[in-house]
Amino acid sequence: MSANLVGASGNYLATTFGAAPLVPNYAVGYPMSFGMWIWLNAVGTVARTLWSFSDNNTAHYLSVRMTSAEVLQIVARAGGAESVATSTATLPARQWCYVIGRFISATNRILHVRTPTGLTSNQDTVSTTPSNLVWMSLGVLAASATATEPWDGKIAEYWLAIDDCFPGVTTTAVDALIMKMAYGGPFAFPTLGGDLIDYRSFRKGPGSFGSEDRAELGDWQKSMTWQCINTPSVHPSDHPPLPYWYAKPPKASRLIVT
Amino acid sequence: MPTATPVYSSSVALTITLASLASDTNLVAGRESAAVDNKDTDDAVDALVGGKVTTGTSPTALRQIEIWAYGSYDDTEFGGGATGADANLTPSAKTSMKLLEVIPTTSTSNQTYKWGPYSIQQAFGCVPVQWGVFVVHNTGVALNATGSNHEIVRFPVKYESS
Repeated sequence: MSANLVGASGNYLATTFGAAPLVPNYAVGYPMSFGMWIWLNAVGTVARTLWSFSDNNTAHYLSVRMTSAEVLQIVARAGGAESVATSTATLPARQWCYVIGRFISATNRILHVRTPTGLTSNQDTVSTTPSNLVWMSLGVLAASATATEPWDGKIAEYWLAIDDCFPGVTTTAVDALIMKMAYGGPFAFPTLGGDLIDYRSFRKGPGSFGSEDRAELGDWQKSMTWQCINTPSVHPSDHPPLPYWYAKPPKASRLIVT
Repeated sequence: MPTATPVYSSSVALTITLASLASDTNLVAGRESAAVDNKDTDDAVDALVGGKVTTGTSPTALRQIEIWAYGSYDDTEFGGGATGADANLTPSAKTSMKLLEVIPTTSTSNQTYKWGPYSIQQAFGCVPVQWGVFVVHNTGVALNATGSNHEIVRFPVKYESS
């Protein structure tokens, strides 16, 4: 399954970290990285957002969005001033693509977009430091207690890390590295495991985010206080085809006898 | 007390013509191998499959070669609309097959990419009575024209008692 977000319905997935950030410096969003498979239902002159991390207001947020020309952007906004790096690839409709957003520092944000016909990597180095980031969402820009720019399509195999997933890798990203992440998954990178704080395959469905992957997450999962909101209902859809060796969350222990 | 131990049979080539296989931007039209008869020939509890594919002249950079496995559910029909013959194939539903590998390619001419081995048993959860491999690519040019620059082989795995 994947999570099917219908733009016309405006449905999305969101969570809030609450008043206090879970880890030091999380409220500024650096360093952080995420990845996921995405599917755009149809082209159209509509801006849509894939992922956002905001102060629940319009002044501060980090996001990855698609412009009305079907190009993805990595965005940082602080104090009402926005800085953007734009992908040089046009997102195709009805094809699975892989996206990695790397919010490395206030002066370094990199977006990798792997479509079936190529890889683009674009960087933004304009110093931008948002603050008070508390509200994270998938499939919408959640800011100022409203949701705008809804994604119209599917997402799957979402992961989030509180560090850069590819330390030292510049925009000259090796295609094989991106492909390993896409087809091997974040757990295929042992050095990333300790930084992962969220993983949602959407393989079992998008409905119960509080428990959807808990059986898979096992002992590796960090202790968190996420609350997931799903409104209106996000429907399940087909999962991107992945090989059987796609790495799933490791279990530190396994019950063998009861 | 008898002991069952896994035994790797000799490698066996799959019959598939990859030379000059045309590129498909949509990654749909490709080539299927002749089906492997596991029920009457291999009798294997697993098959490890791998091979090599060579791109053509001046391929487009940052494209890919996909390797899929198809299987039979009744010893006659095959998933994804495969026929079980060494032939060009546009699958009815590629997602009815099992993805084994996606090989990222470069713009280097006549570059050989070796892949595998992958377990057919793990890909399907079993070894189908008949199974084969489907290859498709969007490198922008036809694959290398020399037959010996491509191959797909399998190692049937069985148990023997000793």
